[in-house]
Amino acid sequence: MSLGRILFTEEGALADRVGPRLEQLNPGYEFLAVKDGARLVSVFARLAKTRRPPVLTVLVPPLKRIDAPACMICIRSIERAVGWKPSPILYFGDAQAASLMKSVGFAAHLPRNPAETIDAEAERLSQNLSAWLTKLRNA
Amino acid sequence: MLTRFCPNCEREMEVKRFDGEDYSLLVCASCGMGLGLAVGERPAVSAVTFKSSKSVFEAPAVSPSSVATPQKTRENSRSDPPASSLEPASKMMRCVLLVDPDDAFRAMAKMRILDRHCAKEVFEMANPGRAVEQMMSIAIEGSRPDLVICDLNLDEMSGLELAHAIRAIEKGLDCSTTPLLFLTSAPLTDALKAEMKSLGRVRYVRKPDGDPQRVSEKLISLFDRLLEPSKA
Repeated sequence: MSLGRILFTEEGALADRVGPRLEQLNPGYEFLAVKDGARLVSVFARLAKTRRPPVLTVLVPPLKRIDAPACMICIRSIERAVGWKPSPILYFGDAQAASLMKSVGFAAHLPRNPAETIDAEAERLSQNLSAWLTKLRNA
Repeated sequence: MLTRFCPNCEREMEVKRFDGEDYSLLVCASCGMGLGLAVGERPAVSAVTFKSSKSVFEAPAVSPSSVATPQKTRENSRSDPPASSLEPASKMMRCVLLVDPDDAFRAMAKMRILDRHCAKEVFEMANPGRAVEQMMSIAIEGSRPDLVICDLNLDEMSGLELAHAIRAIEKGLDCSTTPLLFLTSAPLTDALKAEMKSLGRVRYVRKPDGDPQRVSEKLISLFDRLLEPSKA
């Protein structure tokens, strides 16, 4: 039985690396890669209708159509509409959205290092996600 | 040929008519300014409808019965709306969502919409997040607004991002497509027009800019025309 769904929103190739690695580190979660912001909102709305909140949403900017900061606002709006508590969001990008994350609540920021290779980035993100999932599960 | 006095072009101009399910939008063929929202009457001939996902910018066919005389049209374009425009429209929209950061404009627009009986309910908000919440609340009940009026420049997210969010919710909940009417004070670039086109069932109206007094007068005039029941 799945421990819950992780929505991973990213346009690049990071999801292909993080998904399998996370499965090794923290098995049992359903990893769902979403290719842009509008698709994330669409998936999130569908989950809200079926009353199945994701355990974690990961946003990796830049995202087409609806960028990551706007995605956070949309997620919180959908949650308010269906009466959910804020679900955890991890923002993997620059620090520009830090002030917004304070206002949306229950969101964490993991800074991105432009000098890092995609494999190193995927490993660091997977480790952080795994630690956060363990923390959330034990909370 | 249907003509109306365009305050932006400051002369009688040919009008394009875009037909929705419950209303038609009259737009100046030259500058794109909205010149009236004809509620309750359907044209005899229509090339472009909100039901299709065709371009905002395609020229519509005009109903032969909807031709207005220049004299009559000029009378209708004066600042005092004719008494008949205050009569209830035969088909009223149930729900309109109005998203604009300008408090005064929202209040005025809501008053105009309700006064002219164009909609039973107007949800107005400055915050696009609240608009997404409202849209979700309506959509989850299996319904949708009849029209979303939205400024392109909003706080926190752009009008286009809000439009994409609305479409995403509709897709996620298998709802039908809501007509969107964008208000913009800046000229639209080709890229912006293309993005709008990709959203389907979208219209835009140029909001005038300039000194605040002139702007408010023009906005009132714009809304009077947008919400004017059909004279056709």
